[in-house]
Amino acid sequence: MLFAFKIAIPVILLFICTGCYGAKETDSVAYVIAHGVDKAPGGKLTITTQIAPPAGPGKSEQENIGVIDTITIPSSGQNRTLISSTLSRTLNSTHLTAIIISEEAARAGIAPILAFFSRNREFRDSIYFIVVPGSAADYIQKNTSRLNLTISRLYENYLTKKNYSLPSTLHTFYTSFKNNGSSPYITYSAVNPRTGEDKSAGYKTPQQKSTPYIAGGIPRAGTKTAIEFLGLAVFKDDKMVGVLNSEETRAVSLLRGEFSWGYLGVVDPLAPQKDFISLKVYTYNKPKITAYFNNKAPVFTVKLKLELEVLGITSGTSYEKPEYRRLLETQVADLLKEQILSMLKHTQALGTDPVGFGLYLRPQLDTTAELSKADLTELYQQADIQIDVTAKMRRTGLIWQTTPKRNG
Amino acid sequence: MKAQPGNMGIAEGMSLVFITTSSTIFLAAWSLAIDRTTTASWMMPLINTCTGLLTLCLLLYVLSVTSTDLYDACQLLVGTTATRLIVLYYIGIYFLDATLLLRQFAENTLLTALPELPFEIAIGWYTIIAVILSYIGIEATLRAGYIIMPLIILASFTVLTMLLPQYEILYLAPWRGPGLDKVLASGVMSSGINIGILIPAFLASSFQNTKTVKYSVLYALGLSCLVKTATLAAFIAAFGTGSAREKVLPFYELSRLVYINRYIQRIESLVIIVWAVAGILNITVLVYAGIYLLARLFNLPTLKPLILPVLLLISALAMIPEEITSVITLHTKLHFGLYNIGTMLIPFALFVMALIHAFKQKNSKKQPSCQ
Repeated sequence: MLFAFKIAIPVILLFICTGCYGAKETDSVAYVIAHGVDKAPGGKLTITTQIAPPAGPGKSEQENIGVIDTITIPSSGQNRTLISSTLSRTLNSTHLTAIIISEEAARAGIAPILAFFSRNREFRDSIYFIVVPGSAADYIQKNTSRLNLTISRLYENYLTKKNYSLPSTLHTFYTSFKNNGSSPYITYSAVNPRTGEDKSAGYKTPQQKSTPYIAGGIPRAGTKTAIEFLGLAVFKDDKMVGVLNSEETRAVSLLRGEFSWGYLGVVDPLAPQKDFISLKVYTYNKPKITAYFNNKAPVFTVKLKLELEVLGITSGTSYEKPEYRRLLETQVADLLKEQILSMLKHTQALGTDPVGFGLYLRPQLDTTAELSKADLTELYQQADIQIDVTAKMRRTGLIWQTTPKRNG
Repeated sequence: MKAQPGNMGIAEGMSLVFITTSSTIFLAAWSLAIDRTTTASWMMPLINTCTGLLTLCLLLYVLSVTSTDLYDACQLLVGTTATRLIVLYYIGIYFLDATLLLRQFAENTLLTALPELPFEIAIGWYTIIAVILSYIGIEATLRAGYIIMPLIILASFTVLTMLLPQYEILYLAPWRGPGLDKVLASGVMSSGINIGILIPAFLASSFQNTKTVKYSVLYALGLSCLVKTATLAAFIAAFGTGSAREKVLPFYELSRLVYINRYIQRIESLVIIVWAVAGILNITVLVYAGIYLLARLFNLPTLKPLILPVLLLISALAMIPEEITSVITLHTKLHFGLYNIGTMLIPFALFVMALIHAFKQKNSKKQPSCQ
C-alpha cells in the first residue's frame, strides 16, 4: 500500500506539473505603457492605449512611441475586449506606468475611472496619474524623448521629482479620495507649443526672482521634448477644481514633507532692482504641524525649517558674513512664507486640501463617529493657519567670502 | 489508539498554535474587522490574545485537575453524552473552518497568482497536499510548520519595514476608534479567531507534559499577536480605513504596495508562496484535529483511512458556495459568533466543572481522615 502510494504521488504530479497555467511567452504579449482617458459624447470615454514597441527601444523617436490605439467605449472594461480584437497579442497591463487623464474628464470626476483600475490586479498602486489640458490622446502622440530609451522610463524619471511638480499614484489618489483628512491631487503636465512665448501663471512676491508657470507655459523653443511637468491639478472628492502653479506646487511639497532639495532665486535684499541670489534649498525634516480647536474653529501652526547653500551672488555682496547672512535668510524665509500663504489662500478658496491639514485634526476628535460627521475640508477652509518659516545658511558653495568689485 | 501522535515538544506546539491563529492575516477577516472597530482595529488582536491566554489558564487548570487530555477531561467532568456533544461541536467547527479556509486560499491563489487556473484544480492542489501531509502525520507537519514560522514572521516584518515611506500614522486617529468600550467588546467577540489554541489541549497526551502545552501556546499566541497587531496597524496606516475595508487580501495588498525604487518592487510573488504554505498547513492541522477527535469519538483503532474521504468531502463542500463574498462573510460571522462557544464558553464550563471536581476530591480525601 505504502509502495503504491509512493509511486502514485509522483505520477499524479507528473500530469499536474506539465506547465504553468496562464503562462505566455513575451512574444505573445503586448505590454501597455500608458493609458489616455478622454471624455467622449454620450457619457462615453475615449481610451488611448500605448503599447511598448515589441522589439525594444527603436532608433527613431517614432519607433520608441510603440503602438498607439484609440477607441471610444462606454466602459473601461469593454476597451480591453475591443482592443484585444485589434491586436494579435494578448494585452497585459502589469507594466502600465501612467494613466493620462484629460482636464475635461478630470473636471467631470474620475471615480468611474478609478473603479476599474483600483479593483483589477493587473493595475498596480504605483501607476502614476497625470492630468493634461486638451486631449490625452494628443498628449500621448506628441510625447517623445531623445533622452530616454523607453516611454515608461521617461514617465518614471519625470515623476520622481517633487519640486515644481508632485507625483501622484493610484495609491496616493485613492487613499486621499477614500479617507477623511486630505484632498487628492494629480501631477499636471502639458505639451509645450515651443514658440518661446512666456505664459506666466500667477503673481510674484517682492522677494521672488523666478516666474511661476503651469505646464505648457514655459518660454521655450527649438527643444525636442514637447512635454513638461509643472503644477498640480487639485481635486475636491473626485472632481478637479483647479490648477496650482509651480510655486504653489512647491509650497504643497514643502508642507507635505516631500520636498528634499531644489533651486531658488531671490531678489538681492540690498540691490533689489538689478541683482539676485541663487540658492539651493534643503529640508531634512518634515514640517511640524500642530492642530487644535479654538472655539470650534480650527487653528494650525506650521514650523518649517530650511537649510540654504549659496550658488551665486550677482551683486558681489558678502552674504556669507554674519552681518549680511541674516538678511538673506530672512529674505528666503519671507519669500517661501508668502508663497505658502498664497497657496493656502488659493486652496482654501477652491475647497481642496492637498497638504492634508485635515489629517492633523483627526487626533482632536474622540471617536470615528465624530470623524464621519465632520467635514475636515470645510474646517480647513475656515482654519486660521500660522506659518513660521526659518532658513539657515549652512554652506556657501566653494566660495566662503566674496571679494568686493575693484573700483577703477 | 494506534494513530496516537508521538512525543511533541514546544517547537511543534508553537507551530500548531501560530499557524492556526495567524494565517488569518492573509485573508479578508481583518478587512471586515475594520468595519467594526475602524481606526482602533489593531487593538483587536491584543484583546483576543488576552482572552486566549485566559482560556489557556482555564484549560491548564482543567488538565492539571484531571491529569489527562481535554477529551478524557471532558468525559471525567461532564460525562459521556455531554463529551460527545462537545467533541462533535469541535469536529464540526474544525472541518467547517478547514472548508472555509480551503475555499478562500484556493480563490486567493486564482485572484493573486494564477487567474487562468481552473478553480477545481486549485482546490485539488490544496487538497492533495493536505492529504499527503495528513498521511505523514501531525508531528512531521508541525515540524515543517516550525521551519515555516520564522519565514512567515520574517516576510511579514520585511514587508512592513519596506512600507515605512508609505505610512500615514494619522490614519490611525481617532486613536480610540468607535470608542474603547466598543473596541473591547469587539475584541472579546473576535476571540473565535483563536480556535486553534484548543488543539494542543486535545492532543495533550501527545505532548511531553502540561508545561509543554502551556509554553507552546503562550509563546505562539504572543508571536501571533505581535504579527497580527503590527500588520493590522500597518494596513490601516498605509491605506486608511476608508480604503482598507474594501480590500479582500490585506497582506497581499501590503506586499503589492512595496515600492522602494524601480528595482525593489513587485515582491508579492515571494509572499504568495509564504501564505500558500501557511494556508495548507492550517487546513492540514484543522483536518487532522477533526479526524483525531472523530477517531476518539468512535473509538477507532486508526485515523489514516479517514483522511482521504474527509478531505474529499471538505474539498467538495468548499466548492459549493457560488461566490466568495458569502464565504468571507460566513467565516467572519463564525469568528465573532459560533467559534466563541469553543474558545470561551466550553473552556469556562469545563473550568467550573473542574473546580467542583477538585472540591469534591478534596472533601473525599478529608472524609476518611475524619473517620
